[in-house]
Amino acid sequence: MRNVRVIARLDIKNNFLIKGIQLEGLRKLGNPYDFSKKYFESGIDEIIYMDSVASLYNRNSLNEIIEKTSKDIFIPITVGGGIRSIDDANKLLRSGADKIAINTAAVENPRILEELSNRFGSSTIVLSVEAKKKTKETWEAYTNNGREKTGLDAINWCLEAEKLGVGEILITSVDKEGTCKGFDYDLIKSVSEKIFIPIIASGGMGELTHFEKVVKSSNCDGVAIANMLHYKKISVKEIKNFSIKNNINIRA
Amino acid sequence: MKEIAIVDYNLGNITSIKRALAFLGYKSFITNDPEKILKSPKIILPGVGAFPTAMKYLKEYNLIEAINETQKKGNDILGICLGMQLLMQFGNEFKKTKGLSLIEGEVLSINNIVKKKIKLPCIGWYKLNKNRENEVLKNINNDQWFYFVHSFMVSCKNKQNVIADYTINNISITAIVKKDNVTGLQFHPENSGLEGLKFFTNFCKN
Repeated sequence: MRNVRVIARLDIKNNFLIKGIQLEGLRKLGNPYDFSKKYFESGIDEIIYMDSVASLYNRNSLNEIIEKTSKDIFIPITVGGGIRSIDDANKLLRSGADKIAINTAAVENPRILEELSNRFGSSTIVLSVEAKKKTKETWEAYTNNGREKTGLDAINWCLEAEKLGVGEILITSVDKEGTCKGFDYDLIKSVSEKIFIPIIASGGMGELTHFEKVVKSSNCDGVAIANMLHYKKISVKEIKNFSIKNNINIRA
Repeated sequence: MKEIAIVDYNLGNITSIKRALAFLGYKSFITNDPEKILKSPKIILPGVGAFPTAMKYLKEYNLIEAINETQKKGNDILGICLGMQLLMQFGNEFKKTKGLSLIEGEVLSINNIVKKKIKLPCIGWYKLNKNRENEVLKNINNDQWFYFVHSFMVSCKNKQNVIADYTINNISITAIVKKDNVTGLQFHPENSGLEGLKFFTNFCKN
């Protein structure tokens, strides 16, 4: 069975870690590096930094935070938000990022996924999908933190991105994000069964049983957690201990 | 001590490796200059990307000879992930491509050898199974986890070169290779926490 990764997701605005409900109504929580450092020391498997306003301004401003993070935090760091070109991606990788997550730029020009994968290797490129429920079994992909419709069916979009060579998909439920009421299990199950590359489930975790349910009801490879960790409702250790007790393969 | 050369062939997370070395107190520099590589006592081939693209750039920058020369001089070479795969004779990503041929063997898709196909790239933390004692593994605890991300795997002709492997779906995948002064790590020591950094310490000291 797969080994599931526990991933801390940090949404960042103007150098502050922020957290909101359903990607709206933002609250400042502090310096992202301090949070990452603590998570690293307590055994988190990976970190995702999302520049939450970057798409609006067409630039990612996380270079400094990445530079600081990569100096003493030695786990994979994925960076997303406002990355529009090979050059943007290269700058972030040179700052110390390990993977690059793309959403808006790929919706506007899917070929960029192919170009980035060819240039930096598939395993460096993550497609970030913000999915909002449309009917019982369909979801629409959104951009700009769930604000703008794309008209794309989320599952078909993931299938296309897989063909274009991305190495991983981060799928965030716009409906569940920030609610702490559990993941969109149908969405995660549907994506992770139809797509044959690693899937990271994001949006909605509010208790440990949600973690267990999303891992056991789908074929996801990683789980991104934000609110629960940032508000100290749970520690990385508690998640890991709980997983081991419940027969989920995980890095102890 | 003279600085360690991190070979820049346009791919991957080179900075993470430089930062890891700096954290341990080792000086390094990123270069694609064959002269500088030849003068360096130890070189690292970093690794994220595609095999044919990597070989194309190594050729374009005249680095293949410099790396071969480094090996002949007895200077240490560390290949990480794709960097390890490049050490072999052939790669089979998209098409059969000649590698650096410092270790006998080739590079195959993981799904060529597993019974039930798995999702690729294989991304995750796994424990190592030690095959034999070697200085590469000095001070590394048996029970530790390392971060892997790859779709292709190394198949060595001489099993003596395989120091450790790891297991997915009951299949053994080569994790560490070593032949004389040439070492390869399939996982990313720069992304594997403080335990991963020990591999850099073992490589850099002396």
